[in-house]
Amino acid sequence: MNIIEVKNLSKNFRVKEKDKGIKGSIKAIFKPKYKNKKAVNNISFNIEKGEILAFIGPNGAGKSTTIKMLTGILFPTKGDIKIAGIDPQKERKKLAYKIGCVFGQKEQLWIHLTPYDNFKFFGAIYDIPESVVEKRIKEYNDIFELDEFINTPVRSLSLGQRMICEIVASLIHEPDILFLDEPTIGLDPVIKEKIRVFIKRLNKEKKTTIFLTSHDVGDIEKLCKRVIIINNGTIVLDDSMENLKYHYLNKKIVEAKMNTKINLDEIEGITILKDKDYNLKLEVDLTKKSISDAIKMLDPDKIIDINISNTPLETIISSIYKR
Amino acid sequence: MKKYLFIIKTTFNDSLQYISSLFFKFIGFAITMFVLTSLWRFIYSDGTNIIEGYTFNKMIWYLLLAEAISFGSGSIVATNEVRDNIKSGNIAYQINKPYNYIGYVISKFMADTFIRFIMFLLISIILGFIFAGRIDNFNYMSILAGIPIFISALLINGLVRILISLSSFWVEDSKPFQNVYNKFILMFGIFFPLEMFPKIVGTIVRYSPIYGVSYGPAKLILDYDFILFRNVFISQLITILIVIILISIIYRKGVKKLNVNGG
Repeated sequence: MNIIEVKNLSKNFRVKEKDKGIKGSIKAIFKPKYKNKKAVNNISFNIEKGEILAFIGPNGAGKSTTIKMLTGILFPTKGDIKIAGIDPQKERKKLAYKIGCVFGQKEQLWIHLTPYDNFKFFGAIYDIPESVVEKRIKEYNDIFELDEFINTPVRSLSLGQRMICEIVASLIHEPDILFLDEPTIGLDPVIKEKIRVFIKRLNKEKKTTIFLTSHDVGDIEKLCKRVIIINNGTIVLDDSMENLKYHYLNKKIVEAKMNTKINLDEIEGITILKDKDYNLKLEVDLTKKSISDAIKMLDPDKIIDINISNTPLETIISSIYKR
Repeated sequence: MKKYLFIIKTTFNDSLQYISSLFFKFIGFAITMFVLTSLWRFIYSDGTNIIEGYTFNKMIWYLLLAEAISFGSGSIVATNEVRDNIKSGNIAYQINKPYNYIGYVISKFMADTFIRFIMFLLISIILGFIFAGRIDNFNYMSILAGIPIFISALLINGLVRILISLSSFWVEDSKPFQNVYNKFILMFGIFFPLEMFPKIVGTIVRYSPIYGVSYGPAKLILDYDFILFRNVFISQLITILIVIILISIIYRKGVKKLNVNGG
């Protein structure tokens, strides 16, 4: 069952432009110039209930614009959106009960109040009985060890603690869909991992649909089964993570430590990425050569250690962005 | 309605966290009042007892009461907060919540204003007794009548400021417009009562929000009578209605052209 349906969605912005220097600034006062920018250009996709989707793309690709149209904040120039059967722009309040949003670079918490007061506030505005709010706070306390900072004003919290509170505040009404716009930006690896584990658990136990945008490949790799890549406002890839990792580029990385220095000549299908002392790193294009070809090329008798891995997801994604 | 009451309750809680910063505003307020009182004392020192119906005592109390409303409703919720939310894109977090954004801002403004206003009113009363003594011919009915009038005055001031802040959907910075509005309030509502202006200016002020924000409430406390109460209150209700309609139109139009930074 589709919980998110997007059909032919477009969003144009009118962006002010000015010529260089002071002269340009003065000219812009009397004769402002505008340029029409297609932030999102005719995209369509569906998301099933319970999916964890990565919606990624380079800066300015249209990710945040899309997420903000899906959550009812921005009005599309064209196209249809249905979130849990609701039109986000026409029934924004009704939609609010179904979704939770975390925008990594924006704040929703009252900074002078404690996380506890904030959670109570969000519980009240979503019409949740106090006893249920208390129960949920306790539940999240067990997961995130909120006890440590639940009574400290938000302004005094670390970035990681604050982000955890943002997530808890967005989930206090147990939404069906959670929109996460770069939730781990600027966080240390420990907090990132904590958040990822929690999101996975949330999806598994409560069947919450997760719509994630992130530049952190770790978030995408560890959480998502499906990925949509958007660039210049259009969808350039909509595939499963498996396909993206193993079939899309058909490349493997072979790293070998040799007992003696060997001289290699590059051949078609095998690229030498690194050749330093006794360490070699090759990229094998599986459509042209096999892994055994690469091992033969190295001379198996001289190999001390070998590691064969997939091309890093980051490299795959970057190459798709560059197309 | 329940959730708006919770917003009010939460804002009270929030405001109490930084109430000590109000102390410095009291100092600024007291200095301003001292300077203005000295100016009026100088004007009245030539032997004039009454200027346009105002004795020195009533003039000082007018000034203090009108300033108490102005300082009391100077909450940044209706000005900087709305403007910054629109400009930074933080509004994204507020318009997708299950409440009306304007209702949220008004509730927050009124809660924040309530605490501020009570404090500034108390300071004004103390300063009034120090600078001018008890109000001449004070009618205790004015206290009762003053409650809805002062609440409406604070609300109008907030609503007009919210309306101006909503212009941030279109303009780079709404602050200059707020400054112009503040200067109008200061010039035509606080420094001089309505009676002191030429007839044409007085008429314009009478039909502007300034009448309900400054002149009406202050005058009612000084010279209470039921007709004045009725006129001021009706004028305030009409102003509230008009400004709310304008806010709803501007907000609906603004939200449709919202361009949240970073996407």
